[in-house]
Amino acid sequence: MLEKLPINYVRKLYNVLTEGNEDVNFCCLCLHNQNREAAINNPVSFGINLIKLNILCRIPIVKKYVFSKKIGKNYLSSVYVRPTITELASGMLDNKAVITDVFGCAVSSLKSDCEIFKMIEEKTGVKGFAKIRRKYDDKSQKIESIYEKINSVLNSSVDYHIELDLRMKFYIPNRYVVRLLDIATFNNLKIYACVKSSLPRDFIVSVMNEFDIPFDVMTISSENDFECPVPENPTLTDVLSSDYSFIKRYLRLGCVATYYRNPETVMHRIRHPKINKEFREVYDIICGNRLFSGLKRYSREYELAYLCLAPYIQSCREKNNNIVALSVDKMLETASDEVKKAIEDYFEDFENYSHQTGTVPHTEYNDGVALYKVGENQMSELFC
Amino acid sequence: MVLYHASTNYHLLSCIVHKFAYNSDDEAELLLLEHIRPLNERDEFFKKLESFHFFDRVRKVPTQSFKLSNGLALDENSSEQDIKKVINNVSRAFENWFGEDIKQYREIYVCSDISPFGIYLNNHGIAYNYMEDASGMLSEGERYLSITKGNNKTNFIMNQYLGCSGRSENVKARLGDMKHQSKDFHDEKAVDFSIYDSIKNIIPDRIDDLLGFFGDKNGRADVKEKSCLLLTQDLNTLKIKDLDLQELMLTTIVDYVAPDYQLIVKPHPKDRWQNYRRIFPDAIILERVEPSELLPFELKRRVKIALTASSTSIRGVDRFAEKSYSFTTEIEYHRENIDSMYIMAEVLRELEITSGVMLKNINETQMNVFLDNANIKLGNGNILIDGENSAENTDEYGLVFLPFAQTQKSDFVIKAEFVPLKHSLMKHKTIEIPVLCNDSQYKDKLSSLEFNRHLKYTKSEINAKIMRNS
Repeated sequence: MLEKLPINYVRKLYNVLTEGNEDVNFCCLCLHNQNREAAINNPVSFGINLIKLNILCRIPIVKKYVFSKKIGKNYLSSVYVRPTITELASGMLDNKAVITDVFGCAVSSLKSDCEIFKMIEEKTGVKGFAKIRRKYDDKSQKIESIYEKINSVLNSSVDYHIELDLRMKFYIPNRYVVRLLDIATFNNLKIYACVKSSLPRDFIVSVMNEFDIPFDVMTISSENDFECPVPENPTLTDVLSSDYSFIKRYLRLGCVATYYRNPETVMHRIRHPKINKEFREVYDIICGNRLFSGLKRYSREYELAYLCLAPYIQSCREKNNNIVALSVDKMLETASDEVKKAIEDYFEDFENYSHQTGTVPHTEYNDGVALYKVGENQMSELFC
Repeated sequence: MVLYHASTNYHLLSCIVHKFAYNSDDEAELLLLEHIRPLNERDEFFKKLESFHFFDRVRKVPTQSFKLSNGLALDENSSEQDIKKVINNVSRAFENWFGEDIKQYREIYVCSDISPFGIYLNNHGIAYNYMEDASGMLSEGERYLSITKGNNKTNFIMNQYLGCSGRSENVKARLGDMKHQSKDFHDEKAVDFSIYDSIKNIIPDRIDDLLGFFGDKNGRADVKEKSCLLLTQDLNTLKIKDLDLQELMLTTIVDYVAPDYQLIVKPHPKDRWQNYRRIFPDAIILERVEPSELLPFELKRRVKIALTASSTSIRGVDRFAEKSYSFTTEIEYHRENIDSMYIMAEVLRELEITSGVMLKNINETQMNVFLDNANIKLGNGNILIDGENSAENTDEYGLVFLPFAQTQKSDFVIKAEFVPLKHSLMKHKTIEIPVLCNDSQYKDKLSSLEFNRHLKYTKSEINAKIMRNS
């Protein structure tokens, strides 16, 4: 019966069922990608599941438990499944243009705005800077004007370039999104970068160039006469963003939505064992970007080793616990190549993070143990 | 009347050429799968195809709609009942759409019988002629099957059941380019059909039409004497479905084999995923959708080298390239091995050594690329590439290279440090290759050797030196 419907109608139906809010969108996408063949071969059953998700993801108390899985207990990569880059790009290439908001999607920061403001305060010794900077933060204003106000209030002469240098230091590209835009530009899709920021244009362009992020037109919220681009042909325009409110604006015009839930956000929503807040922030950034960007789908044993075993090893080494270290080394002798690769990658990722931020994140022994314990039952499968 | 069925640009070209060469007096219809072009190019493409009047009628097959009729997803554990059910569903959906009497066609030619039409034909026991999926693919059935398995499990199960991919008893003849099949290929039903030979010898008057339809709208490429044609592949046909790895694979083979050549890139028709303008900014990028089989007629002169990682299309371009190099499918699993091979070949080139060398435990085809490219002649026992780590007597050779050796006594060690520059996908690493030296004339040369290489497209530096092993 369904095969008699025009394919465009089926697509519209799918869009209606998946665009309710960001949770609906993300969960439906994960469901689809868990088994794309089953979705297309049995569309009625799939449609019913989409309707269920639609309802559950709109109920405030219930929605946080939808797809809620626990580190160590569940194979998370089989639940939070993004389409491969080529799968997502196939759909994108049906369009003629892409609109993206860049920050938070193609480019993220290892430090939040508040952390950066605090660093400036420490670096310059200007007391109260961080609080005032937060107060005057306004994406419709240029950073030069913001700093003029701050300096006049604090009677200081802080140069905004300090903030620019710090921001540049902490930016990381999201390779999955960058690749998507790369594919778009090669296939002659016009790319509109619609940036909500008070940062100067030449700085933003240098960030884009630093990470090889292509664009054709850039509009910035702090510049005069700012308007988000209105697509010439909305039904042939794809909107790519991690900000669902940005996407919704264009959905109303008839554009196609590609909501990309930030990997850190994916990690935040996963149930963790009780670990230190400071460590968790760093752990979520690193693990999220490695496991849930969409760039690669990792095996269960890799994921388990990365999320549970590697932090335990790290905490043992920091504690200088030789007895534990020796038994861990012995364990690793019988580990598969996947496990060894996961541990190697974990340490490399942490090292890259330290190198970039200039800080060495501390791993409490208790945090390592807590993460090891949640995966303990399944850990034996990692070793011969 | 005859009926053709196609899915890709290669298939379409095959059907058009075959029709002109062998069925020019017949009315002919074409069934063409809609996904030959993305949605925003589709209507324009089909209009263009109709305007060229290659066929009396062209029908766009709505495969996306047929998928919805499957009713079930199949896998290796599916029962025969379920498989038959899905086959019948697909077959019925196709028949309802097709709406024609299949018996009216004198002959049916099918490229890609792993499609609703192929399922319909095999389900009803209707005889057809099978045309190979790409040049030389008749003899690479296993590779073809593994690609299709990765693309769609349900289709794969149905096709295995029915014996598609040209294996079914309903196939009357299997058409393929016999010059490009593997050496031990034998098939009683095989019939030689070469696109190049057909165009050149039977329908040379049609070349302008073919180039007009498929060819590069920018006109014929201006090829210099020292030029390298790089043929890329669709990521979905590779074992490694990783864009970064694919990019690294391509940049390294170009940097290793053709570092100072004019580069011409011919993307595979389905290769929409790599930005070759960014990766190779100074290269000529040819029209993606043009089948590479037309390149001999497109390019203004022969190229010096045709190069690919492991694309079968290399077989079709050997006619207009002085040399052609392919690295086999092993490069997809172990790209890093060619880094060692490159270093070894460069050592031989630097030392001007062309004989008395053994290279142990190495892929012979891949190593031959480097040696041939460095004009180091093989054969007559002068250089032995030992692919299976046999107990060959190494004393007979002046130099024995032992890459990938676990622990091995050696006289020298080549240390090559790979240093990535900005935006490089290469990771920082150091390769160590033990070397046995049985000839005193080489010992002095070896101990003083150092060289550097800059890999332009890979954006890396290599610093290599040879150290005496104490």
